[in-house]
Amino acid sequence: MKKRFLSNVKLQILFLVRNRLLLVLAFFFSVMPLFFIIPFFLFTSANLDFDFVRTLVEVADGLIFLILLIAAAMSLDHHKRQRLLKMVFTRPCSAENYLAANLAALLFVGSLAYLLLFAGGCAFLFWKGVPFPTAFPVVILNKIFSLAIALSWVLLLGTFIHPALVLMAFLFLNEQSFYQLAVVAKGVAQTLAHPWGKLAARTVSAISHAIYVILPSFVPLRRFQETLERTYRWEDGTGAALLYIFAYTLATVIFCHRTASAILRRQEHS
Amino acid sequence: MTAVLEVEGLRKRFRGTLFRRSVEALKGVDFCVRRGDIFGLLGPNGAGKSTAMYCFLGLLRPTAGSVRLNGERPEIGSALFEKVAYLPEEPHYPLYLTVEEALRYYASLYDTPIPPHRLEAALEEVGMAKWRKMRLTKCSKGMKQKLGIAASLINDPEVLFLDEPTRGLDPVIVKEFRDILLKRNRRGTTVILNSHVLSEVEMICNRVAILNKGEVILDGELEEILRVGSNCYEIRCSPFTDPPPSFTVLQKTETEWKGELPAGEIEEFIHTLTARGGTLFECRFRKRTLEEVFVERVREGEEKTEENAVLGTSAGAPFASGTVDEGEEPAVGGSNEEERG
Ligand SMILES: Nc1ncnc2c1ncn2[C@@H]1O[C@H](COP(=O)(O)OP(=O)(O)OP(=O)(O)O)[C@@H](O)[C@H]1O
Ligand SMILES: [Mg+2]
Repeated sequence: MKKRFLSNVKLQILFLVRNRLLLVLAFFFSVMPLFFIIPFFLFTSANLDFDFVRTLVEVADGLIFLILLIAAAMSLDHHKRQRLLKMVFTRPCSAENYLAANLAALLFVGSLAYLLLFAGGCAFLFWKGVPFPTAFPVVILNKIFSLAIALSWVLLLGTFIHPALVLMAFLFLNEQSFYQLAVVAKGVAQTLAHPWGKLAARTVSAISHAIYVILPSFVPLRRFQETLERTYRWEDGTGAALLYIFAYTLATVIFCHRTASAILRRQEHS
Repeated sequence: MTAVLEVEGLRKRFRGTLFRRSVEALKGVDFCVRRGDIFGLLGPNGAGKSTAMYCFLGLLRPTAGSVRLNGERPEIGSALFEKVAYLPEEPHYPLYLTVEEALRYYASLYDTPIPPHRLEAALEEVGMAKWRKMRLTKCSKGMKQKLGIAASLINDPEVLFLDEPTRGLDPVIVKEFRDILLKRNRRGTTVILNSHVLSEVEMICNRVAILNKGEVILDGELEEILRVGSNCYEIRCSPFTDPPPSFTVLQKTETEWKGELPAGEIEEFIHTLTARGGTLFECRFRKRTLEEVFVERVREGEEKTEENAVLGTSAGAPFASGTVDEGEEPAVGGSNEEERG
């Protein structure tokens, strides 16, 4: 059981590190934040040093998130779409084990990237003599939780939808885009004079809002997280919020894993 | 003997889509493989052999009917596979691994620990030891097939499913592979294999079934299948007057005729020949080959289908006869049992 899991994890990690396309992307993505760094070195105030770390974390987070979603989709495409699973499932290796390992490997690599980012951030703050922002670890932990949620959904949807489509949906049809659409449509409704136009804009807004509510969220406590990411300060309630986010993440991961395994078990692998 | 694989009324229909008609790949297949058999599942392209094998392993779910593998319904990833192995028609591997890594990965999926020396032996056995560090992307088709064979032997399976195992292999390894199979079989492994290479099947299988258009048109002991029907003698003799009509002359020269004679007519033929002053140069008994039986049965099936089509009945009408009856012809020497050891 454990042996199988570990060897599946190893397989997935080998897939990630030996994938040229992913390596090129990773290289490109790790060079990209440098362009954000340069303007910051032109200033030296303590406040800006903290801002620098915050911006770096934000930019890097987006890139880590994106590359891991791409990696998850590619892994599904390589192993499932290209019918490698028939060689796995005709051995005593369950769909649960396989999927859990797949998620664990992606999450492991993602966490490693976030920890690296954290270490880099800490080193920079220490070098500049900026006092350590108390909730910096919480910020990083939150990012890892969000990644876990997103990866779980990709793995679940990818079992029955083409991973490329899942990826597109994640990038363009996510919760955020519907939220923004709802806000924009609402604004448009207010400016329009024509009653039909107003109605149409309101309808669009209502529908997008409904979709926004229905769609799974990678950021369970948006308001809390927005404040946290602005201040990086540990406040009353941060612990409780963190606990809630952890519980939400765990529930999502378990739900997605169970459902995806059940689907994979019922699917045909010829 | 106990049954390892029992298949009853197995049907598989691939549902159609907007652009594709639904296909009934298996139309009620029944047979049984006993422990210790080397069972050959034969049939023309598209007959449903691979589909059947997928159903035996639980990789495809039957539309109707039942499959029992070692007495259980096969579920993918279940403990049943601890002692079952499968080599797919087109093995798909994690191509980013090396030969050795892939083999080790597959070995790690079993509960029973597989000692490294067994992996080593498997690599040696199929002649892949010298390529162990090669990435699978760089391996040739035959090399990948060899890896597949090694991977299907590492858990010392009790039941071994092979879908066209010798495809893409060179003759030397084909021979070695045959020996491996026979050796394993002697140690108790049941083998179920799909193949188009009928000579090979004839050499190692003790039972065969022929599948055509999703139906079993012949199923039985190989020896009996080959014994039944039109065995004949190949005759070389001098020309003589008025040969009997049962003697088919295939080649004629001034001094010699070559031809075939149905097995039952030999005594009368020799009698006639000597009476008319002819000389017999050579007379050789020719057993039917599996290939002849195969072609005959499949053609028969085609004709039946055409007839049915003309009569307006469904193409899926049952063919006459399935199992072979005990011999009508005298027993023929040289059973395949000798080759099987
Ligand atoms: N996934 C699928 N969807 C639709 N039809 C399929 C599918 N797989 C197989 N078929 C059809 O089922 C029939 C049997 O195919 P199968 O692969 O079992 O044949 P086979 O006997 O193994 O042939 P071959 O000797 O060429 O390997 C064919 O008509 C094929 O087109
Ligand atoms: Mg086939």
